[in-house]
Amino acid sequence: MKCSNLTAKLWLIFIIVFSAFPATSAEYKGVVEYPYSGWLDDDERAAAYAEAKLKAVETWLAKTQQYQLPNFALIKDDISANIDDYLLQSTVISKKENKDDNLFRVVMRVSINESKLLAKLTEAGRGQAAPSNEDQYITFVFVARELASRIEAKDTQSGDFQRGENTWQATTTNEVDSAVGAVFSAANYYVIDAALLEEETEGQLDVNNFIMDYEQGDDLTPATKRDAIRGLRGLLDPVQYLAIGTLDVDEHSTDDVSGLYQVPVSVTAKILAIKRRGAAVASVGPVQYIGLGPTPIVAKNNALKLAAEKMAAGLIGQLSSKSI
Amino acid sequence: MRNTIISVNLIQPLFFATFPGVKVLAIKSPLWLLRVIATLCLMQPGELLAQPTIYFAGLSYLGEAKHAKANYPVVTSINVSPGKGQAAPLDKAFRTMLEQTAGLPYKIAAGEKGDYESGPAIAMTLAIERETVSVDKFPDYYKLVAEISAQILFFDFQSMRLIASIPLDIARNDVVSVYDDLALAKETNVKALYQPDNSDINLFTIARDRILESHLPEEDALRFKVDTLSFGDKAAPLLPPSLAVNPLSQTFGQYFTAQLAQNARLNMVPYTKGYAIGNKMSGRMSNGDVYQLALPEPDYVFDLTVTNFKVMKKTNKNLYAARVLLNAREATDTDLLINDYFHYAVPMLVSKNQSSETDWPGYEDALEMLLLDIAHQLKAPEKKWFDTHTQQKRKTYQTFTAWSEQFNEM
Repeated sequence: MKCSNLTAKLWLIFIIVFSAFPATSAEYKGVVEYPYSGWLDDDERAAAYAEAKLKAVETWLAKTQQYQLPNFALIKDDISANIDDYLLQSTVISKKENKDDNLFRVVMRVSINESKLLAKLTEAGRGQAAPSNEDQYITFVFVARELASRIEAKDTQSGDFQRGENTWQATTTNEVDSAVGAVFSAANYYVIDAALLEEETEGQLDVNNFIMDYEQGDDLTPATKRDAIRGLRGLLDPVQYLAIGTLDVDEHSTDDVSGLYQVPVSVTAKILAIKRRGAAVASVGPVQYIGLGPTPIVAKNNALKLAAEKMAAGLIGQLSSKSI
Repeated sequence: MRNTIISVNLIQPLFFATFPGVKVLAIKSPLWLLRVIATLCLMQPGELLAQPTIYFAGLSYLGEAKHAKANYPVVTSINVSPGKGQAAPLDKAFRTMLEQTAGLPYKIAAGEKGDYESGPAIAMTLAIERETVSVDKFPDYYKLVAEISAQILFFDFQSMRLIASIPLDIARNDVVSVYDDLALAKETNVKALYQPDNSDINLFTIARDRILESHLPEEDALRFKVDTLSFGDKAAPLLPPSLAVNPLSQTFGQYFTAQLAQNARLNMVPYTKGYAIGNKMSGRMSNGDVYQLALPEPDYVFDLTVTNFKVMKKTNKNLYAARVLLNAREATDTDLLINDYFHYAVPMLVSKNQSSETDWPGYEDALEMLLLDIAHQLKAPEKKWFDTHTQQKRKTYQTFTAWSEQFNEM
């Protein structure tokens, strides 16, 4: 019926109008000065707009997705030709024709569909790898650590130098596991819970060993790392990558402006390629992130989630750009 | 004997500024159709389309959470929850007022607590940003002006990103005998502005009326912001010693923002100097929860410097003048779209026995009138006004004409 069709169309348009606040979009501006010759025609205007949109995307990459820059280089022309496919919205903020210098200055504000573009970039990087029938499995052990004790470095009375030493309280957390798992999955890796692999590797990969090592220092002991790699390599259906790292939670303080609690988290992580004898093929950090919240626990969880998401995205960006 | 004079200064809302020459490129539907549909949504709620649901998060107080009670002593003393989980009285009263209002462009969500995962994604708070009482001393009486500035803020509950704001401003004048309790009179006048009755001289009625007239701006609407408002070397020494420069800058920044929203119909990002760092705006809900909203980046910015005040004193009438330098530019560009000095003078009657401590009330009136007029002229420039009130006269008139052609609503 005409009426119901009309209502449906109106409803659709209504949704477009009022749902224009996507949570997974990023807003950036692109500014270009587009040279033209003679009379500025419609084609040149359209080219200037497209270039401004691309510039906005490049700004987003440079500011938030540095690890995806190599992937972007691979498919820049493709993205440029289909730029609107990766934008949720674009608005001309300003257009100015400089007739003396034959330059058309355009400023555009775009809303980038981050999920779609990141998936495209990651796919582009992975597409460079030699074709393989193998599924890409990845597992990870990331531990959140809080300082348990600290011995400051100092000169002793006998004149010897005593090294500083930290011991940590380490644990795996849902916030980190969920955030990392989501990023890895979105990049089309099959994520296997490390705890599930303990039995399959006959205990060679043991999450508790990771935790104990990270309680004593910043690195895994050679034995823990060697056993884990050996165990994963020996699987019938091998897991190609092991991601490991620490997220160190610092003491909370109060944000003067908001009154919220703030908690800094410093993250260090890397991905080891099991087939390549455990060589690190991607690494991130140490990088610090701050989480805010109405209580110290909420602030800590927010910081861990943020740090985990950023760290995982960085690792995936590097991994895909290496075409492994 | 106490005489009460009440006047109300209403700031109209901004909203839905739309601009010719600005195209939505990614949405394939014709823009005019979207506008028609948006209008239909408001004209016939419930008949064709459902209304968007908005969660009312109650009153809140802008600025550092720990200073909320000091900055807003009256509202924070009135709006106290009677018990855990129970709505504070002003939150409840305003919510009831909204629920009983026919023709709202939004449906107000039921329940006391928003849930962005299953509930409405857009929240609204009535955020108080100024609560002041100024006092002018005369031989036999005090003249009081109680003022409240507020913003109705609409924000994405999940990303905590500001979507839109409606600036509000309300004032109440009073005259109090020098023999009366001045502190009590100040409190009473502010309290009166917070009375959620159906009179037209309280904050809540004004807020409701503005909501009735508004709807959420399209995402492609251009955004404007008063970036800076400062007092120059000649003007700063003429400010009353009792008033600090930064709060005054904040007050006039908010005032100019509200005028540009109302009279120039620009989609304004709130003026945030004083309660925002970077692009984050902080506040505290009446239930004690603190929040931080990410502000959208402006597309065009105004910078205003109050350069000077002058007074010409006569027998019964003084002439007070304010002068400002106004610049406007596209936010990423250094080229100025507006760049001129503007001035305005107001006459004020002076009684024989008046001994106002400073000339500030006159300067303040002149500055407010000037900012109001500038906003009007941005919308509809009048050549004569520029001849009288600007340094570059015709050139600035042409600038404003070009501005209004570019940015006025279709």
